[in-house]
Amino acid sequence: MTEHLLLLWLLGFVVGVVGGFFGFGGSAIVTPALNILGYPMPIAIGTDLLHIFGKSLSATAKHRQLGHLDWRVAGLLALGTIPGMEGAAQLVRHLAQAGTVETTIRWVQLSVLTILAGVIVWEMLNARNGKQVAWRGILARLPIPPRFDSPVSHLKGASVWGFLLLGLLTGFMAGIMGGGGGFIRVPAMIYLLGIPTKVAVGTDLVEVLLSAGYGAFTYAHKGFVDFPTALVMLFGGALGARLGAWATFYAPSKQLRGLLGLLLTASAISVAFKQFGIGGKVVPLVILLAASLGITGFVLGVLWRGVVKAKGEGAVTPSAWR
Amino acid sequence: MREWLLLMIAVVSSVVVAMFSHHLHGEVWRVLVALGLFGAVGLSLGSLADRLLLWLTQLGGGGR
Repeated sequence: MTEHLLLLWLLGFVVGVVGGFFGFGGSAIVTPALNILGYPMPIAIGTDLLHIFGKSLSATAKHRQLGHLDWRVAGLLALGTIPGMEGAAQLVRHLAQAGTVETTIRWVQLSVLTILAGVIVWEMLNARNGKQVAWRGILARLPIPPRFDSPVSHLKGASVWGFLLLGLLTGFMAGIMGGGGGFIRVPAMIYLLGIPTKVAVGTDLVEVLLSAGYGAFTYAHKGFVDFPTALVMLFGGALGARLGAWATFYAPSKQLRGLLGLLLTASAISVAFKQFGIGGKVVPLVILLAASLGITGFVLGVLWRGVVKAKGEGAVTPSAWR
Repeated sequence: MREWLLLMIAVVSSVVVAMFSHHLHGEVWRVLVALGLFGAVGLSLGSLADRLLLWLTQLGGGGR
């Protein structure tokens, strides 16, 4: 591990910034990277989950300070996510028995990522022409009681069932595609539940925290965690996640969605490379890392300018941040 | 003062993880201790990151 210390720290930092900014755990990048660095797959997954747990705690705390956290929505989604993931695990088991698991999962990944990136681009083009997406928030408007209000997410009379259904669907998709599923849940919360972008990001981190916490527990219990490696990545990840989360305060929601679309496009290209066997294991990972590195630079720039401007205006930060 | 406390929490938790890394699995209580230590490192480093950025922007001419 010692020869990779700086690389592990940097990996943790970059994925931390991206994760804190978009509400992801980042397992799509870190687990294959650790595997390429020589960690056996179960150790790579367990180590990644433990570092995600620590850094998402740091980012969640920041989003809570910024008022980007909706506990009611997080609770409802979590209730749906658990059976969704369990259902996916059963399906994956059947696919594995049939010997088609790898190909099927990659095609699902490719299709979902392409659709999500396409929806974001399409919505942004519509917004540029002054048009609203008519179906935004469609699941929250389901005509089935019970209903609830949430001032944080600007929801009034939202159907509980829509949230449970979305939790179930995104949990199922995340269970098939691997990882915490933030890259599906955040756009789904924005478009299908009509939740403001920044609240979707902060609230999703609660889901990431729960799933990574449980995953880290069960992997560590079985001895599948390299603690020193997870610690080095957490040194970078906790700093990065905090800064990424803080940057959401200064980034306009439209810009955040645009960058999300960019990252999802890069992810789709990376999966396509893997599916068609282009560039072995390394090139698809390099595509994702390059996109993450570019986005990290941009996000840190947004944060720096935001803080400097706020300080200049004497509105540096709420007292709680000090 | 608070910065030193946060730094101390991060350092002590990290040292404990590094020293006892071979003993932090297998039993539920050991794993829970590991999760607690990682949580403490994450939260304390996160708070230090806030302060670091405020300090850096001060150096970079962002202060009043």
